[in-house]
Amino acid sequence: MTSAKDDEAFWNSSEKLCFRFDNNEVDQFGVSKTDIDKLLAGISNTSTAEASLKSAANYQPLKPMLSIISEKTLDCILAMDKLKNLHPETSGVQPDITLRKILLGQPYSLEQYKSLASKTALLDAAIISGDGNAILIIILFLTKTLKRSLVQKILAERLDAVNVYIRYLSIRLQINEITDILTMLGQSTDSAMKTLHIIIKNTRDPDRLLNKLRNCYKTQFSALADCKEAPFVQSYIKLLEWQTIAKVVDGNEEIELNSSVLDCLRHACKGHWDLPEGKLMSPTNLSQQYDVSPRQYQKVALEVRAAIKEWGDIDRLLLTKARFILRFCNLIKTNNINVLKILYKNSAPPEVLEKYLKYVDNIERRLELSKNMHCFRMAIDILVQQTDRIALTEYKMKLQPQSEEYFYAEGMLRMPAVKWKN
Amino acid sequence: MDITLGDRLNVLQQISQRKLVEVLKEIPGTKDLVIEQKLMKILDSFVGVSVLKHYGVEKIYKMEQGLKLSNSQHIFLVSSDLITCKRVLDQIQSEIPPNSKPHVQPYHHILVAPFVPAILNLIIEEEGLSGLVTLQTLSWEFIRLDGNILSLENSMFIDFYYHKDTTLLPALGRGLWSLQLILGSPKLTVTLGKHSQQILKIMDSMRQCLGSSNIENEIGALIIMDRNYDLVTPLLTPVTYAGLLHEVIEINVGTGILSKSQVKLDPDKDKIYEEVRDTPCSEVFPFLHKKAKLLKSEQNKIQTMKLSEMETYVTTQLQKTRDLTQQLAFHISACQLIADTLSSDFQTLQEIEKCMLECRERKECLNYIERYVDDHPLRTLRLLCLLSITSDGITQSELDSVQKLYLHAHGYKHIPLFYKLQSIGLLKYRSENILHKLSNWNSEWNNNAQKLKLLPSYFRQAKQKNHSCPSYVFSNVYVPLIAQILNTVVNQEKDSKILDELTNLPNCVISGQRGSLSPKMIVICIIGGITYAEITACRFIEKSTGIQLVLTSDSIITGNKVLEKVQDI
Repeated sequence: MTSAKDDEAFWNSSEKLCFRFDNNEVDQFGVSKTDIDKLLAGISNTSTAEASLKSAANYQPLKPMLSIISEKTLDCILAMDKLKNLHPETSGVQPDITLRKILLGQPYSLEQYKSLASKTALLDAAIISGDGNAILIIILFLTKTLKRSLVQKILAERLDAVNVYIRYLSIRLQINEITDILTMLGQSTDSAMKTLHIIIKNTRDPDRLLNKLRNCYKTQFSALADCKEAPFVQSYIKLLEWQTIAKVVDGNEEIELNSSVLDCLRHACKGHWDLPEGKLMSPTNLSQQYDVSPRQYQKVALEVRAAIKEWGDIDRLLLTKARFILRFCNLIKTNNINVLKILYKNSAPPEVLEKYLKYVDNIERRLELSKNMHCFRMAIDILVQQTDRIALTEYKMKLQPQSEEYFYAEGMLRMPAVKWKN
Repeated sequence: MDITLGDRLNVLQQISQRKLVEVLKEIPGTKDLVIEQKLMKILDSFVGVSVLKHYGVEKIYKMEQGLKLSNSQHIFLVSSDLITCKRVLDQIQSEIPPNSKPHVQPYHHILVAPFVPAILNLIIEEEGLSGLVTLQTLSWEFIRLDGNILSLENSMFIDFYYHKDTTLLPALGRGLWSLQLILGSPKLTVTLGKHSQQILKIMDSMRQCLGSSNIENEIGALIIMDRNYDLVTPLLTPVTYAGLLHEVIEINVGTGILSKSQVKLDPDKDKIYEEVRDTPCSEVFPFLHKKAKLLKSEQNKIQTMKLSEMETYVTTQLQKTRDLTQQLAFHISACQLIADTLSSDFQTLQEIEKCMLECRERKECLNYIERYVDDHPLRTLRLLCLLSITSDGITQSELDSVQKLYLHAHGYKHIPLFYKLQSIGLLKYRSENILHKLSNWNSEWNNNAQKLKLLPSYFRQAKQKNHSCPSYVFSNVYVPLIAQILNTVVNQEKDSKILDELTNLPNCVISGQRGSLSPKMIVICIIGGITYAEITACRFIEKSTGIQLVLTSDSIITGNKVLEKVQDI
């Protein structure tokens, strides 16, 4: 905790506290980062202790309980947890009473429910009551006391009961039982998806995961005609196989098993950029195999090649091939900031940035971006083109004196050929 | 002595404590208390260490593998999910030496919250531990958060709407039952949805067995709604401070947690929070800025104080100022985080959400989704679900491309995700239909929403900037359904027809005394989680109509939290 002295020291130093909203870009919440920093710098970081069961001081004094509620009310609420001791056993087959006992946590017995009719009546009453706890315990009682085919028949007509039972079976990882019940109900897609889910969630080891997926695909998905997830499962298997091979090819480094297609693509773009198209590890091969969208492919390739400063590759990727030019133009139109942002983030030199800034159609926008990305030359050229002397003079003042760009601006201002509009 | 609603709600905390104490009193000797991590903060909300010590708890541990306990009585406090319970049984197994006789030290007690699942007895038997452990229920009452919000802090959404497993429903019913004993029984009850009706039956069973207390108190109405009755609300992005705060920072049992500080979001203790919680976020920073200036001028004043003044200041004001400073710092940081998380796209996002509600610009909406799928997975899923609900479903081909992009970017391990969203009803499919391409086509969802007056733009011409309609929580594009129902119940006297019209809604049942609302107190319960947009919209109606409102649920949710939970199933 910061001491009070520190606090005071802060609050008294006026400098930290002056807010200059006019200078800052304020976003739409009316919050600007610098202001926040200033505010925060000033306010002490009195962090609360990680109060977890630490002191009783936090509990504010409350009025005595019994001045607000009656003793009877309190007893009534507290009695709820002690029902075990109340109400001696009443025997007989009365679903409502049995269910209430289960609901209230009292001792109960299902043994008296011998006849099939009484068993189903009990289950039906539980379903109506909406108490999942009771539904489950009754189903388990049925599975113990009835033959399998009968249980299945009872469940087949009671989906609410099936849901609760399937949940329980999933917790206990009883895949076969789940498959049996759902297939019997004609819910093959649900069966396949639930099995897949359990496998993905509970298998950490990639080799075992691959085996289980293959098996699951063969037994459950391959027979499903209209399951839209089936092709994805196939791709999943293929990708895991690719990753396993890639790990061997690349000598056990970097590539993470069970990572995404784009992660793999990133890996390929980084280490196998120059491989010809058909090769296993080549980026184009990967993106064809998995039908990666052009946008995702371009973005990944751009990010990876920019990160290792291979600017030439970026030109080839975006500009050289005719079909890419089209794409790049599309990119520029819908999402151009992304390309420039990626390049700028990876500290591309001004020459590279300027090449792509040219594709920004809106001249004002291009000027703004050039300024923000420190492409001085381009910014100056635009201002000259606009014959805006005042703006250029102002811009020059902001540049580092005696720098190359400063002289460049100065030179431009002195150009006799320019007809300044102001 | 005047008993306020606040006093009544505070009793809940005392009862919870009393319940735990009763259990502890029954167990003699010194005790080790082992608590499941996620229950720590909850326990902290109703009992302090000194009370635990007083009743013989010598040491408190966090539940983890390989614990070494020392006292003779071991108490494990865990939630009722079977996997956690199994871990406790494993721990107990490891403590029991082979061939030991029962009832030799140490003694093991499992305290299960919110109740002991009947199946647990069978599992204990299976594990060979019958007779070696005792099982008890600890059902805490609703926990009071942020004024009159009551939460069990036990999220049940996935259980009810994905697994379709109602095991936890009685726990919520029990909370409402206790609350009724304390506040009074409702004169009018409105339920929307299957679970809402079931919970009433569960409460009835409890009443039959334990009777109701003889208090004369009554409340005007009880409104219970299934969460899946309005899934649009959690999918939309709220604009109020409290709403966005819950979207971007971790909030644990009413305590906001930022990397540097923690603050209890309690309007009684944090006046700043009280003032800004229901305000649109854009208005919050200027407010905080003003507060910071005021604080500074107060600090300046101290310098010119005389010694005697200083003394009074230190004894009366200093602590308050300290707290205020800390709270201010927290809210400023939180504001910053909200701005960082949403800012640059916030306007577009709102525009897109509006288009979806109005069934316009489908292509642009889908483009937006596809463009952000790599970098903002949760936001895109939210929008995809929203689009599919408001337009009666998305087609196979539309889904195909989004799903492929999503799986490529985030891994094939998410293959089941879309199936899960569909099972819950968050993602709706429909077949290709040429009629939907007509420009004047309108979705059934939109038609229904218009009928219920949930879309202000259709019935209000002027764009209001001021907060004159509960829809301000979504910048005037949507009124959360529960707020509209509340409105209807409050105004039933003026227009009794609308209340009757509600019964036309699927699974909507109204029972009890109609006419005027009296007393003017309403309890609302949403089964499966309440959002801050709903809380704020309902509070807006509370204020403008002069009623008293208690909002209850199993937990407070946000769209992202729901989707994260779906991912984690």
